[in-house]
Amino acid sequence: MKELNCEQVSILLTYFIDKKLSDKLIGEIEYHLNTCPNCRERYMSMLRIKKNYQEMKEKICTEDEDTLLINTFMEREYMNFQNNLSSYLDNELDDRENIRIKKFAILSPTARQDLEDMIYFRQILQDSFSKTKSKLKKDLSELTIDKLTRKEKNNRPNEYTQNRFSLLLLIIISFVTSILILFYT
Amino acid sequence: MEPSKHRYKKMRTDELIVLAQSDDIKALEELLRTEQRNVFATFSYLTHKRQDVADLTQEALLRVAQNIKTLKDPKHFKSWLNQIVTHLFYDELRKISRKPDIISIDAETDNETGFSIKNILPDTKCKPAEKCISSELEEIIKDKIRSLPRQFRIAIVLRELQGLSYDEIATATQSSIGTVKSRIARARTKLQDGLKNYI
Ligand SMILES: [Zn+2]
Repeated sequence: MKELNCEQVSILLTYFIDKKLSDKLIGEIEYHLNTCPNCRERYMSMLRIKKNYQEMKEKICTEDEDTLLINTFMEREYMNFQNNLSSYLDNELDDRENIRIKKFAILSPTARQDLEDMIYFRQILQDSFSKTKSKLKKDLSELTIDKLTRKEKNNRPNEYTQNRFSLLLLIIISFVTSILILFYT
Repeated sequence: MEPSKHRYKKMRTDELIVLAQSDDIKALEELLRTEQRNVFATFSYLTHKRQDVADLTQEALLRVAQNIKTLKDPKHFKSWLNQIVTHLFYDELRKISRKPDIISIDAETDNETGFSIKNILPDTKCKPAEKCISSELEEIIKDKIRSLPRQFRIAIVLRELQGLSYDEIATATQSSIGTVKSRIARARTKLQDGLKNYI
């Protein structure tokens, strides 16, 4: 049989690399590559490209997976962060959750911004409360003590009238009972 | 009596409470004096009617004075005081819902539209704190807090103004800690949203 020329080999090289040829053709191409430096050089460079491409593809794939993993992690942690930020600022979380919030604030600039916004907002609230407190002009404490002592004084006549009423009731009851006793005896 | 009055001013709250519980009327008065601003501010953020705030504050102080002996542990004073405040606030709500036409007549006119945002920006360097924000911003914040649903309103005020723990707020409002936690978180988000154009 006639040997393969360079054109034929170059056309078949991709199939050769992907091992999609018959054993007979593979043997002939191997024979040609051993004898022709040009085609061997071409073959080696094609192998390198394929290898690089595969590495690149693998790299991209794992990167995608990593990104996906990181994104899921970040999303989950951010949701947790948002849910617990308020309690974190009130010091109402346990140690483990406390550290989790702190770590995430370091990791995520968005979370850090949320935290800073919330702290600023609370400061404004505190300032507002202080201002409102300063707006009570009248001293109510003396007034309250006055009311308290007046109420206590007022309570005494009440007790007195109550006592008089029960006394009256007692007299009536004894009177009625005595009459009844007299009547039946 | 000046020097003894001065003596009371230097006392801590728990000392005043113990003295007040043993019929020391001057200690009681000083206790009320130190607490009145706090109570006044609390009602200012809870109730819509401005004229009610002084009356409610007065009534709360009177109840403190009348019942101070029933407080077992002076450490629980703040929580106890806020239970009185909460009860009065709930009573007030009940009264208002019974005569709804009165609120519309007495409703405050708070729409101050004539200010620029620059006027209400807080000055971060100023002291004391109450000078830092303008009265306009204070009114806006009051307004936003008072327009929250009542349970959110009371939770955020007891937390931020009174500094109560979630546990204490749960007791005062007769709800669970989980409920308190979510009410406070949601109240904060709502307020932050509502105030983001002003702060
Ligand atoms: Zn060749």
